[in-house]
Amino acid sequence: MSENLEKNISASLAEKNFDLAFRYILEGYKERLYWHIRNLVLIHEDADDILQDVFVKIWKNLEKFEGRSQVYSWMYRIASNEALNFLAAKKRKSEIQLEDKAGVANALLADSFFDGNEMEVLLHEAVSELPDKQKLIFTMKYFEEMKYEAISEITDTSVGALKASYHHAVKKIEQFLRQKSL
Amino acid sequence: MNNQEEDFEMMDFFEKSGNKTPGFQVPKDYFENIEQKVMSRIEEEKSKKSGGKLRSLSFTGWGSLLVAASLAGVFFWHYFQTDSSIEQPIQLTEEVIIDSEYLLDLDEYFVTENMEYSELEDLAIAQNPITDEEILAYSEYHEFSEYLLVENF
Repeated sequence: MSENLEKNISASLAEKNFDLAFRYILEGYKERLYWHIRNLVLIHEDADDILQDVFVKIWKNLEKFEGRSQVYSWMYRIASNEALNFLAAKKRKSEIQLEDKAGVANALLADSFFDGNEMEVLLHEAVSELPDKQKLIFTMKYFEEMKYEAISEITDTSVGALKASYHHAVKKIEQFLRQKSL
Repeated sequence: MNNQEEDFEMMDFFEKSGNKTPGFQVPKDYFENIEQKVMSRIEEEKSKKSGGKLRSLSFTGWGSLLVAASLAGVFFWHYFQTDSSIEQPIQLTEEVIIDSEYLLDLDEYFVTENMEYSELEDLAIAQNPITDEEILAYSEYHEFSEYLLVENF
């Protein structure tokens, strides 16, 4: 994470200049939070809606931010919760039945902002079948290339357990891909 | 090449091909426009807040006072409510891990093989509560792992 950005945000918060802090946050984290959400929910329109909701929540709660964790981990936690809640609600509504393996592929192929190849569609299908925590950890480690220490702070999980979860996720994905390529 | 190396080959494919961006595109100027979208949402929120305050000020008389008091109560209740996604650990809506199965899987994948004591300890804490029955089932399944369990869990 950019040290200067974190410093600017922290300084603005310390001065209780919440509007300025929020401008720094919005400018500095819009892309990272978007890709984090997009990697979880896959579809651009959904990621766009969730991202806006996340920033509104951040703005509403910035004054109440207690500084018990770093700002970026607090924001990633909000974004992760929003994305996972969205997926759970979506699954409940059966708009995309994740049990139906073609569901994710069809949704991706219908998204005009996805131009991945067959292998990438398969990878997303495989990731979508992981349990929430593994999905989250895999996404942050593999797609977002975050360090275990940062993921540890965001997920409040030890580095050892993260490594195990990531490894577990990779195995499941490989198994899925192997089955599909048979 | 052993099984583990073979397993990693497929993931290496993505690494080596530089295929980290998984086919996602965004509309042109999306990140420039998102700031405006968010700021206009926030302006809406601000005007909702100030609109609500102004309306409550326009009430007169006892009945209005009661209404205003109720509104104030609701406002304070709302204000002190903590949003479910704020300052909370990640909510895992679907994850169901039966610890004994998880441990068996870990063993199957040799995850524990190269772990330090502290990592095993962390894992045990992360997967709490692991019951005695689960440990027993685990140790019966893998006799050789008994030492590991007794010493480390």
